[in-house]
Amino acid sequence: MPTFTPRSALIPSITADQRSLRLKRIRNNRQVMTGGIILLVIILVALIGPFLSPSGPYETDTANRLLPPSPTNWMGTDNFGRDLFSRVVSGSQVSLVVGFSVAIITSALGLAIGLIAAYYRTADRILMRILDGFMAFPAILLAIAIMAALGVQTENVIVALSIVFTPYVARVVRSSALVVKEQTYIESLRAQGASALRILWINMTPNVLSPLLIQATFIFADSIITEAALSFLGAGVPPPDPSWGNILFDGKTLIFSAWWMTVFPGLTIMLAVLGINFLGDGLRDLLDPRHRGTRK
Amino acid sequence: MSDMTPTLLTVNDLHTSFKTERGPVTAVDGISFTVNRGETLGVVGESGCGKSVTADSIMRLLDEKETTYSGTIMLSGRDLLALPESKMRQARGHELAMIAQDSMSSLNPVFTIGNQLTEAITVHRKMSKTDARLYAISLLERTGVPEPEHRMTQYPHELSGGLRQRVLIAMALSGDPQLLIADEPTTALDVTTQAQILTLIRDLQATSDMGSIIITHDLGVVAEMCDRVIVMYLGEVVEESDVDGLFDTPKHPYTRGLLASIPAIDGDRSQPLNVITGRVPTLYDVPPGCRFADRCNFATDICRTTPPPLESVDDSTAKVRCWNWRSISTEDHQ
Repeated sequence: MPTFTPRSALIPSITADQRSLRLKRIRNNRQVMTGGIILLVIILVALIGPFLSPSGPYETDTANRLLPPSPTNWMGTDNFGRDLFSRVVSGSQVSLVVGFSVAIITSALGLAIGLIAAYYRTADRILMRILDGFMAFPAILLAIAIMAALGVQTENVIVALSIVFTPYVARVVRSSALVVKEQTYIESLRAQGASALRILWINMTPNVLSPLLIQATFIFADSIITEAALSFLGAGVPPPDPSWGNILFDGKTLIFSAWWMTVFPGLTIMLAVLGINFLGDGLRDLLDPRHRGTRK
Repeated sequence: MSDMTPTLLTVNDLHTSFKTERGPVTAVDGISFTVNRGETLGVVGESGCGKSVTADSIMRLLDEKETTYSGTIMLSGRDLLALPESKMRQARGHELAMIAQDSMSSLNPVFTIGNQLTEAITVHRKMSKTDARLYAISLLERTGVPEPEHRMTQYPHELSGGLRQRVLIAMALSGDPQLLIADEPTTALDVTTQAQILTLIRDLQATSDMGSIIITHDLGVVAEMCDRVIVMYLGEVVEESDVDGLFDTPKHPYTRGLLASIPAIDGDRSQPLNVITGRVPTLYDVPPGCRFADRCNFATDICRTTPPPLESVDDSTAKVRCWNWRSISTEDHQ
């Protein structure tokens, strides 16, 4: 009797059914699930990590320099006797904040630029040539140049990376907006007297959100790597603030005597980027119509 | 609608040409016609003869940078071609509306029917969201959409082709247009749905004084729907007539060819289909004489050298562009 479900309960309403179908598809997509879980774990550790570590990320303890991993210091200590786990956790907060902010800012800017370029042909020529110019520089080099101009500061890392990565979003948005623009429903909108603004921002935007979301995920991962690289080179997060990149830098000279100083932050970067890329790949399979038979 | 003259739309000597890499191309070459209030004008012709360009010119939907217009398009006393784009935008959807030919792709896939209808309504009318919703439901009712309230929450892909076409018609009607242009409104639909949609358009028109232009290559649609017809060939009007005249006494060889190419349902199936041989010449090499001469069975020397004028057929409103229509019409046709 308790296991019996009435038949009516098995036939949910159409929308509930669709929603559960969508959830099911997400759950069945192994990449999205793996990536999502990895990212979630990293976020959780970034949040609760500070309560688990024995000492703060800035607390030096010269008596306990370069201790190997142990039950107290899970990842060992660095050359100033600071707890490495605590510093990696603190660095993950920086990385996640940088990555997330850059993803959001580039999405907003890239959406605006991409849509305008797709809709107005003159603007297209000008904007896209400027963006091509930006993209001609290697990402790191351009980021270093911008950091040099703005000054070494965590907020400036976000600004620099946003400038570096916006063209990549704008391109993706533009190319899918160009397709959407030629659809009959856009012409119908014009035939109904809709203004260009209305067509662009209200009617075209939702149609380009899927590729935008996918691109934003990859930019999230890319900016974590680039931020680490910048910090490693001393053009990113300034010490003593911990960042995955500058922890690696600190460990560089000690790589043979204190392997834990390079291995743990290195692994963390790899794991984070891998997780986010899995998520992005999975989302692409899920959202990109070319990888699926039909829309929705 | 202050002036109640019967004439709603007067197109006079309209030329529409495009800049292309191979030089300018004139897709519509000096066509003139009128549409009265409450009247339905059919525009027929093969693919590429300029039907859709004519419609797009009236709506001014063509890319203004690449397109040159000349002539006038007077709608209730205003020349649409002389309007600034902002005024033209207000006129679109409000004074003149268009039903696009492809109902599959004419609705935005990411918004519900309700969203799109209320948006169309609020663009032209000062209405609250709730009023717009009620009006949208009433429009769906008028266009014969069953369960309109439920449809409002559905996405385009959840509707059948016929229903989508009804939604598009509802959308076109939302601005209460004086002129409705239907560009191949039934091409993408199956035959039974076609009949329903045509009946719907006719009924809607009967209850208002809206003028309409129906663009089609289907003479069956013309016979069913139209009061008057213009036949287009390669950017020109080759024949203009009321609908009975066109079917009873077609003057132009092209029109006769079109009519003859319709297979009769009780015809002899062993006979080959009647076709007009050859194909429409491209706009890049328009023949010097009559544009139809190369495909015409009645062509004489003058046809190949001198373009014929659009000539009034004695004591009627019909017009024909052919040197030999008198001699042809005395022969027994069909």
